[in-house]
Amino acid sequence: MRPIEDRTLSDEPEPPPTVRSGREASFSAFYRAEHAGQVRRAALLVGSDETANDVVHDALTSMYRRWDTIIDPGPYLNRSVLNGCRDVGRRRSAERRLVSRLRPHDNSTHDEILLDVVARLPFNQRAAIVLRFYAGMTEREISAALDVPTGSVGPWIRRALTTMNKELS
Amino acid sequence: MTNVQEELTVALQHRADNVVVEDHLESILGGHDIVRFSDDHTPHRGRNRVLAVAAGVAVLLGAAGLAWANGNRTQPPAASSPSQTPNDSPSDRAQLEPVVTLPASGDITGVPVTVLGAQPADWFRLAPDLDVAWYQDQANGAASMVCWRTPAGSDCEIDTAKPGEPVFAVPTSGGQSLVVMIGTEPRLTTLDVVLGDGTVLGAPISWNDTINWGVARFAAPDATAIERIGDPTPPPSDSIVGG
Repeated sequence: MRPIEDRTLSDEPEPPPTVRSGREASFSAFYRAEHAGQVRRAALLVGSDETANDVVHDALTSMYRRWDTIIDPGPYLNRSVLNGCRDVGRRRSAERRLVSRLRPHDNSTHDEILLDVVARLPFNQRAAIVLRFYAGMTEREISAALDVPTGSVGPWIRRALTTMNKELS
Repeated sequence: MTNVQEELTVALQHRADNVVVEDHLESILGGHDIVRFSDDHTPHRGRNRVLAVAAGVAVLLGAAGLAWANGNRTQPPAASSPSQTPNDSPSDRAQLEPVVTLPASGDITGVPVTVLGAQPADWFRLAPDLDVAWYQDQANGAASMVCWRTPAGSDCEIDTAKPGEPVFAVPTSGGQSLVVMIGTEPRLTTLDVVLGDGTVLGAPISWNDTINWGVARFAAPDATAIERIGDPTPPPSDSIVGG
């Protein structure tokens, strides 16, 4: 489902051999499988590596506290991280808009300009774009991750692409 | 569009490849840092405390308003006094009944205690469709947690509520939401909530004498739609986040 993220797992350093309880071992395996990809994805949503690390850390910390009660941790983590990113976005939207206006585009690369446009999209559109074009999720998977009706995702993506085309031209 | 999509995929991948990923697995397993997000950002927990305090103030204002309104009802109205107070506005305060009740369970205790451990163990049936439990992971030195479960779901959060404050607003079955309060003397008899669309709902509070917690039941399918708890008349200084 997320081949791009899976590939990034090789960036994780090998954990030192440690004797762990069953609970710790299962959480550790989950952490190793999900952590890096979630941070990368969160960074695309919040625009800051540090904040992305914090959001994912908080989500995983909370999950570890109730690890034994979580039946399907993957979707749970997806939802927690997206909610954390949305929360950050609410607080930072005004700041981001201001910075965006002040930032000169003359020396920016095309990628930077593109990502800047993405950063200024409303959260749901931005999340739909990142989940679709970075994580490779289907619209159904995106709707489940964002906890919205499936029919919402397509229009968000189309609207975002229209906005991006307009801004880039 | 296709060109933009391809460019977007490449740009997102390049950006993601350059993200610095910090590994904190050992600290999570060791319980050395519970929530770090507040370090450089608006604090989650701090904000929740502010919301709880704001909600508490709103509830106290609501209580004062109710007391004032009740006082007015017991006395003959003066010729110039208004015939209706703001707190009379949510006229439908009929007691709703739970649509689906929780099944009998072996983990229910008569006298709830805070369990030391990593998860709730002893649940207390506060309403036919609401169990609550407390636990504290002493190994982590973590805060006491309060947990809830209804037919619609379950969750835990740090237990910071004080008497007179709402503990949480949670969804239950049948398109209802429950707001849980800690009692004060005198206890509130009814509770008003304001939904995000401005709708004001009122409901009687059903109190449990064992733990002095009360439950108000509202016909609101989404607990997060409850924006304010307490006096519906003044404008909110902030909103409360439902469970």
